[in-house]
Amino acid sequence: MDDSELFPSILQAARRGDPAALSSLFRDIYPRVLRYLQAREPSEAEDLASDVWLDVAVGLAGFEGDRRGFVAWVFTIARRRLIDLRRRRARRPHVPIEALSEERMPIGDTEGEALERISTAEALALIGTLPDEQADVVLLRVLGGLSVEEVAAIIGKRPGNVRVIQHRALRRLARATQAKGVTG
Amino acid sequence: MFGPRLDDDTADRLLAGRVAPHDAPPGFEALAAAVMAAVAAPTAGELAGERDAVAAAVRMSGADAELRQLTTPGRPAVHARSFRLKVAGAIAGALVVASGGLAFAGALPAPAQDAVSTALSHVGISIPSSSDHPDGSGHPASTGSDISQTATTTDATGVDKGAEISGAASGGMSQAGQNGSASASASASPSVTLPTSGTGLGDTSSGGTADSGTGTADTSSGDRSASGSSNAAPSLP
Repeated sequence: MDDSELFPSILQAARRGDPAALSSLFRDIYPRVLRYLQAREPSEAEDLASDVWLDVAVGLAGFEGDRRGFVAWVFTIARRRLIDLRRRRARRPHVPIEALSEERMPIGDTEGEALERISTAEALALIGTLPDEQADVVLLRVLGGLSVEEVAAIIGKRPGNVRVIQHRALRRLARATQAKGVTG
Repeated sequence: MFGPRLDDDTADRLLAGRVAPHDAPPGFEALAAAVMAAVAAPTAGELAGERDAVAAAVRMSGADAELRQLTTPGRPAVHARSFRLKVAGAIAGALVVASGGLAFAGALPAPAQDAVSTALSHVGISIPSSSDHPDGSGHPASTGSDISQTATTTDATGVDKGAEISGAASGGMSQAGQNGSASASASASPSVTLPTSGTGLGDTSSGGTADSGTGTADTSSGDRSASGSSNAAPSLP
């Protein structure tokens, strides 16, 4: 029995406040949400991820859907949290840009660095260099395991547009990794 | 300007982490490795907060069940490190939005006051229960109809009439009219004190719009709330 088949019973138990079920949901989604936010907003990632988790805990009672729907719902919350943060920051722009850029995790740039040894942090930092829309599409597809259609619903675009954005992002990432000297 | 090309199927498999670097199309080997690294198994550090996060979620679900009758969807966000502080703040904030502070004043009807008191005790917030009220009613005032009936049927006049109405409204606790002249009574504190910030209660009672609730939450949280929109996130099929 895979995770998807177990999901309804896990969800039901989690709604009742069962710690084991909540732990299972946490392990399933929290690291992925945290990585999504680390790629998009490294300095606030942990705080935002905590907020998202609590939103999920509160919203569990009202959630209806399967595991894929659950993951899409969680990432929708995460993305809205991120948008809210940036909206507030835009109204009160007081954080130096240099400070933000310094907090980004470094991308490995040693020539000849072993391909297999690229770290999760480096991979997230690499994706985080993409323009917002492209980063969103790649991260939702990779970390959420979501389809083009599901990503389209979350970001409010048509599936065809998501494919175009995705191709641009992948080409850009491929060029970036080659330029960095990350080779096989 | 143009990078290497990729067909839709390969792009899907690549993004799903199903293409090993050595199987990736030319130019995408490093990207395939990056995708696999991005979805690597969670680290101990990423799961370090699990115990607190689960405990907070347990409290939220328990408290949510007890508060559900009183709160509207959406809660003000708080911005603290600890899950424990976040959950306490969230519930207290939702309560303020939902009840306009009546619960903290001990002025909700007895069942509601007890439910809120119990729910918040789970997260370390102490507010009075109905049994803490002198007459055990959990509500300082009589009903509106009782007060109205007193006002329209009493034979008393002037200060005495005011004292009688005030007494009905305060469940017998008012001392209005017992201290000297009418002018002295007029300067006494009102016998029934309701919070002036009743917007949240008004929204709840009148089935106010989500926007109103969110606006209040935004205000309560120093404009840092995202929960109005977050909780309204659609449940995708």
